[in-house]
Amino acid sequence: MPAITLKKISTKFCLKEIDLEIKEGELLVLLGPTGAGKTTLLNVIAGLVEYEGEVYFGEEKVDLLPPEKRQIGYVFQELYLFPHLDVYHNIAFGLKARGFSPAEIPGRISRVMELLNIGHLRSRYPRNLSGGEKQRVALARVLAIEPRILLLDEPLSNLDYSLAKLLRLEIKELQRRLSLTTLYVTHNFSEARELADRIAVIVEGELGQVGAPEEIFLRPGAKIQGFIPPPNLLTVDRYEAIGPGLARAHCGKLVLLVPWEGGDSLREIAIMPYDISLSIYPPPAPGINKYKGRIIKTSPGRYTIQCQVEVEGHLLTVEVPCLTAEEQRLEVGSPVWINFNFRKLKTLTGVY
Amino acid sequence: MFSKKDGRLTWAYWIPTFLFLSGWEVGARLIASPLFPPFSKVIAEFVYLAREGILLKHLTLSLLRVVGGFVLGSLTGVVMGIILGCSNLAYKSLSPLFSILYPIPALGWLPLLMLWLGLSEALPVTLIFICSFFPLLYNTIAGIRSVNPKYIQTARVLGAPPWLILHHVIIPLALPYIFTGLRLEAGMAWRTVVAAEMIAIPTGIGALLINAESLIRVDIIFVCLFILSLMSFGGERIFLWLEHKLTGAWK
Repeated sequence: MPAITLKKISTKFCLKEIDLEIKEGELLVLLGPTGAGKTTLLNVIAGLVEYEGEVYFGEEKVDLLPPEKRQIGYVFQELYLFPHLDVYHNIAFGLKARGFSPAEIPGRISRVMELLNIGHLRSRYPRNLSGGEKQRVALARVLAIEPRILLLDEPLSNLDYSLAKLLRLEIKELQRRLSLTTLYVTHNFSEARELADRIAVIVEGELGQVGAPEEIFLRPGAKIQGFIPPPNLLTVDRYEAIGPGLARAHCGKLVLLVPWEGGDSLREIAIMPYDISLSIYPPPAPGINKYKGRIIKTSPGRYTIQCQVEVEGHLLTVEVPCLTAEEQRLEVGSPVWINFNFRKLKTLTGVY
Repeated sequence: MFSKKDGRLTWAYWIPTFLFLSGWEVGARLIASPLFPPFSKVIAEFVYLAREGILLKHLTLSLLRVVGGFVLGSLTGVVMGIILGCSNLAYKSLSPLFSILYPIPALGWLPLLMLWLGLSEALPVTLIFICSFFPLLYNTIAGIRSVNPKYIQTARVLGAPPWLILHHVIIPLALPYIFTGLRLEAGMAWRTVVAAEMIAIPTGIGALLINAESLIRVDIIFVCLFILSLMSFGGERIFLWLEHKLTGAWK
C-alpha cells in the first residue's frame, strides 16, 4: 500500500493530470526547473491549494480534510519560523496545536532538540539564529509533531555549499532512521542524486519521468531531456583493475582511470556534460583523464553553453558557464583541453 | 539624565536646555511684563498650586477622563480592528460607514454631544473615546493585514485551529502596529480633553488653563502647559515600555 497516492491531480494554472505513488518510508525527490509545479504539488498534498483529482494517504482519501487535519510536516522554503516565539515555543506550537498534554510537551521538545543538536538554542529568537540553525529548528518543529508525511520545499537553497552538503547528509540520515515518507523538492541535480530513493521529474506541470536516480540521469526520457541533458556514454572495449577501487578503462583511443569496486563486467562509462571541465589552457600535470580536443558545435543557453567537442574520435557534450566561454572566447574550431572529473565518472555494468 | 559614554558624562546634552531656561529667566526680568513671567515665578506658582491641592484636583479629573475614554475607545477600536482585519465580509460591510465617520475631527462632535449628553462627565469621555477609536481601528486592521499569510499557512499545517492562529500568531505579529496607534493616541487624548474642558467643562486642566487666561495669569498657563507636556510624554513612554516588554525580544 503506497503512503501517498495522487490520481489525476490538476490545478488551475499549473499541474496537469499528475498520477504518482510514493512508497512508505521512501524519500522521493521532486526535481524540475523553476516554475515547473513542484511546490504546487507539495501544496496539493498539504491541502493548501484547490485542485482536481484525488489524494490518498494510505487508504484514506484526504481531499476533504483541511491542512490542520492531514498530519503532515511541511518545511517551507523560507522556513517561516514564528519571529515572536523563541526556539522552544516555536517547536511547542505544533504540539499545543495538536492537543498534546502540557506534561508531555517538554519531553517531546527535549528529544527532538537532542536529535537535531539544538538544545543550546532553546531561548533564542529566530532573528538571532544562523541559516543552518534556523534550518534545524524548522525541522525540529515539524518532527516534534510526528507527522506521517514530511514535505520539504528546497530547504537548503538559501545556505552556502558546505553547510547545505552537511545538512543534506543529516536529513538523509534522519529520514532513514525515522523511516519517514518524505517528499523533497529541488532543482539541483547533485542534491537529487545524493538524497533520492527515487526521483520524479516535473516539467511544465507534467510528470516527465519517475525512477531511480541512475535511471533518470543516465537514461533521461525525451520528455525531460530539455531539463536533464543526457550523459556522455563511452563504450568500454577493455579494462583492467589497477588497484583497490581503481580501474583503467579503454574506450577507443581514450584511456580513463575510473572508480571501480569490481564485480560485473564494466561495459560503459557515463559522465554528465557539467562534470567535464573545458579550457583553452593546458591543465596542470599529471595528464590523467585529460585530453586535447576541438569544439565542433556550440548551443548557447541562458547561463551555460553546450559545446560539442571532438576528443580522440569521440563526440562529447560539455557544459560551460557563459562567463567562462566569453572570457576564453570559445567558438567553433577552438582547440581546448578537457578534464574528466574522476569522482563523477559513472561505471555501468548492465543495460538500462 | 546623566550617563557615561566612553567614560564621559553626557551632561553636556543638557546645556541647551539650561541656556534656554536661563535666557527665559533673564529676559523676563528685563522685560518685566505680566504677560511674560520669569521661569522662577512659574516654578513658584507650580509649588503653590501643588501644595494647595488645586493642581492635584484638576489633574485627577482630567486624568480620569483621559483614562476612561482612552481605554474604552482603544479597546473597542482594537476589537473591531481584529474583526475587520480577519473578515473580508465584515470589512466590506462596515468600512464604508467608518470611512464617513473617521474624517470628522473629534472636537467637531462637541456641539452635538453637548446637546445629547449635557455638560456631564460623559461628554469628555465620549470625545476621547471617538478620538481613540478610529486610529486604533485602522492601525489594528493594518497590523492584522501586515501578517504574512505564510505564517498562517505554517500554523495551519502544524495543526492549529483558527482561534489559536488568531491568538498566538496574528495578534502578536500585529502588536507593533497596535502599539504605534496607542502611542500616538496617548498624546491626542490629552489634547482632546483639554480642548473639551476649555470649552465646555468647568473642571480639569483645560478649565484651569482657560480660567488663568481670563485672569491674565500667564504663570498658571505655563504650569498647565508643563503638566500637559508631562502627561502626554508620560503616556507615550508607558506604551513604549510596554511595547518593548512584549515585542522587544523579537522585533
